[in-house]
Amino acid sequence: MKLADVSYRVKIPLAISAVILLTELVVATALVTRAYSDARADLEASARNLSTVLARSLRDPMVRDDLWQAFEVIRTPLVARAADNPLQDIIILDAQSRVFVSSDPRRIPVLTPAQSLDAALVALASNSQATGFDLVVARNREQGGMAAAGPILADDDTRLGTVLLSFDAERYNKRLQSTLVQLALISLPGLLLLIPLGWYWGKRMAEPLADMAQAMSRVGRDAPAAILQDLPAESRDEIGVLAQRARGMLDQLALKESMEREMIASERLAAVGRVSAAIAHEINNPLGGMINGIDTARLHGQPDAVTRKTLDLLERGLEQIRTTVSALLVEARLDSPQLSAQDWQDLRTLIEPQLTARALRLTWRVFHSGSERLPLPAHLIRQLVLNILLNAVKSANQGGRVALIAMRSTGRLSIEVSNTGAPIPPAMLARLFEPFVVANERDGKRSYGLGLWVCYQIVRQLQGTIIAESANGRTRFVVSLPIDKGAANTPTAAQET
Amino acid sequence: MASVALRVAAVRAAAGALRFGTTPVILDDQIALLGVWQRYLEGRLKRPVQFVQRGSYREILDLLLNGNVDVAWICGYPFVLNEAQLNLVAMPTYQGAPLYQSYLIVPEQDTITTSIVQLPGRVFAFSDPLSNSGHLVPRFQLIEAGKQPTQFFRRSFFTFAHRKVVEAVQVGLADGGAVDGYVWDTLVKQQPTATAGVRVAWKSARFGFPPIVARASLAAEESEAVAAALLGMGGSDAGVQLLRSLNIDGFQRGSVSVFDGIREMVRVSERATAGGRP
Repeated sequence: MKLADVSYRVKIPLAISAVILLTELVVATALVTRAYSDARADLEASARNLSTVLARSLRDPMVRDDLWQAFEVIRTPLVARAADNPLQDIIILDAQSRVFVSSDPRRIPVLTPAQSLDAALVALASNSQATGFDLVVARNREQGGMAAAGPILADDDTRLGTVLLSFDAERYNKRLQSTLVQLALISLPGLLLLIPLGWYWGKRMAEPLADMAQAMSRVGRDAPAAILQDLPAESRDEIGVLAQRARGMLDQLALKESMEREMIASERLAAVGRVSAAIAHEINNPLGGMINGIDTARLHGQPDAVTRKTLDLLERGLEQIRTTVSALLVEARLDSPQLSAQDWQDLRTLIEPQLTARALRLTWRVFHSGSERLPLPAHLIRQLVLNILLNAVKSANQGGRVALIAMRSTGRLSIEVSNTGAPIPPAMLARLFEPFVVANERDGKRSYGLGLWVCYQIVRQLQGTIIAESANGRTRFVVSLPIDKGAANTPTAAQET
Repeated sequence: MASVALRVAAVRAAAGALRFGTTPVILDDQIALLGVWQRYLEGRLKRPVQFVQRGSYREILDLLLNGNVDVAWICGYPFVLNEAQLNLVAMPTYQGAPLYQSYLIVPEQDTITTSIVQLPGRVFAFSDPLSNSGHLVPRFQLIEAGKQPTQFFRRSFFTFAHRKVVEAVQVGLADGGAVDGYVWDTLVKQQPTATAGVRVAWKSARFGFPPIVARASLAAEESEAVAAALLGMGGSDAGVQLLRSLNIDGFQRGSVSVFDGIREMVRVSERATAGGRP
């Protein structure tokens, strides 16, 4: 698995933890380095101090060749040293570079030649003509760790001998180690606290990003509306901006999908329209002939009583076919008068009885008043609005409400008819404007017949739009028509045929 | 330091005080013991007593010879050397006689050595140049064996105290040392850790115990009073307690002839070498 494939839910906490660890490491390294240099400086300072004190105290015993007093002088610092003091041996060399006395005479007896001492001490002893203090730190333990040397000078600066100090590297290191352990003990609780905290913060930071990715991966599979709900909460950071853009895109996607659905529906309606118009014409032509034939037979033949009765029966049947077919073909009557305020009044009067019968309350708000006429064919608008109104009255629940709002905005007439009551099922809503649609409902079948088909045809003819919505106990039909004399009078394809 | 305090006290000695010098012929670093003894003597002598200590026998001897100290507990060797200017006041008795021995001590790891002549080319610790047991006796032994004392050892040194000779051998600074047998025995008895790791390799013949002497110029009645006070120690509880702490039986008048053995060694030794250096 590549690092690039790992989730930010893990990557960000990991990065934060890594930074915490790195910081601790850098701080610890600095402290350790400091501890090392401090220990070294401490050692050098105490060695220099001890060397100076011993050199002064040993001056007289050396001059007087008093071995025992010299021994007592060098024994004191070792007896008095602290347990963790790395000081190991004090060796005094005489002017001939032989051991005058040492703090451990068993191991380093008097008169031992300096050359047979530890390597580090030999190095210092061979350099014993130097008049200053000197400290060497051997690289490895075998060489004897650390050693320091200082001269013992008489008052006239004659060299009487050399103070050699050797230090136990192990004890020196142990002292350092205890410092390091202390350091670790101090930093460990910090780490134990910071890492879970860093992990928690990192996870919280990555959460919106992960939600975002999760939501976006569902695009194309789930409905945009469902995805919208799972997008991260609004914020102004980068993820917030991203979520904002995603919201916009999902909205557009939803719009596009609904437009596509509408387009499919309207294409189907158009197809149905073409087919029904063609069938209507094919039926109308022979129908006219047949009705003419019946007239001719009635006028010019001598039909007996039975035949006349049969002819009447045929004529009524054919007339019924003609009515049905002409309902399929919505014909624009070009000689229609323009829409007037009186037309609205008539519509209201027409549905009044039905409202009363079902105890419905009506809201009626129409802009149109006075003698103004709109350049729209009055009989088509009347047919359209009456159909929708009757439909609303029929669908409204007992004692419910029906409303009509007609408004005029720049270049358009908008008519909204709504009613309370059981909603139209979604499956039905998609095919609402098709002819003879039948919906199966719990309380039986609900048929929409040709009413809405006719409405749709009229709106199409007037180059307007009609939409139906049904939600929250309210069903709404909204018609929007352009007010344009030319458009209103343009005949439809169906009429030309 | 206690010895400094005592030294200052000696300089400021009250008028009429008896100035009593001590040397490491006894364990004179026991300050509390000296304090008790001082009060005991003051009670007997009806006069103040000041103990005076110095870094070497020589210094106490000089103080005694030039009259700055009235009486002193010194070694038989310097007494013999300066007999004309000193009077014997009292002789301690140890293990029933006014006698003691010199011991040759070596580290316990050295199980072979039985004589100083077995230590050629080694490091040797003497106590004081004016000590009989810690210097004269081993020198005499070497001379008797036909050795040249100044050349025999690789390195020798003085510690100016018997117990420090023991310490020098104990820590390994010296391969051997010469000590006062009485001091060694007292250490073994009273502070056994001080002798741990060290063994006695050889014991000398018996010599006169370090005596209590007075400067010749000290009035006879003063000297007599001191002698009486010392000889009477066995007669009181406090005195007996002190004698037990000092690890001696008591004091007696004694005779200078007890130092004949030392005189003989001095004679031989002076004939053998011109100087007194080891």
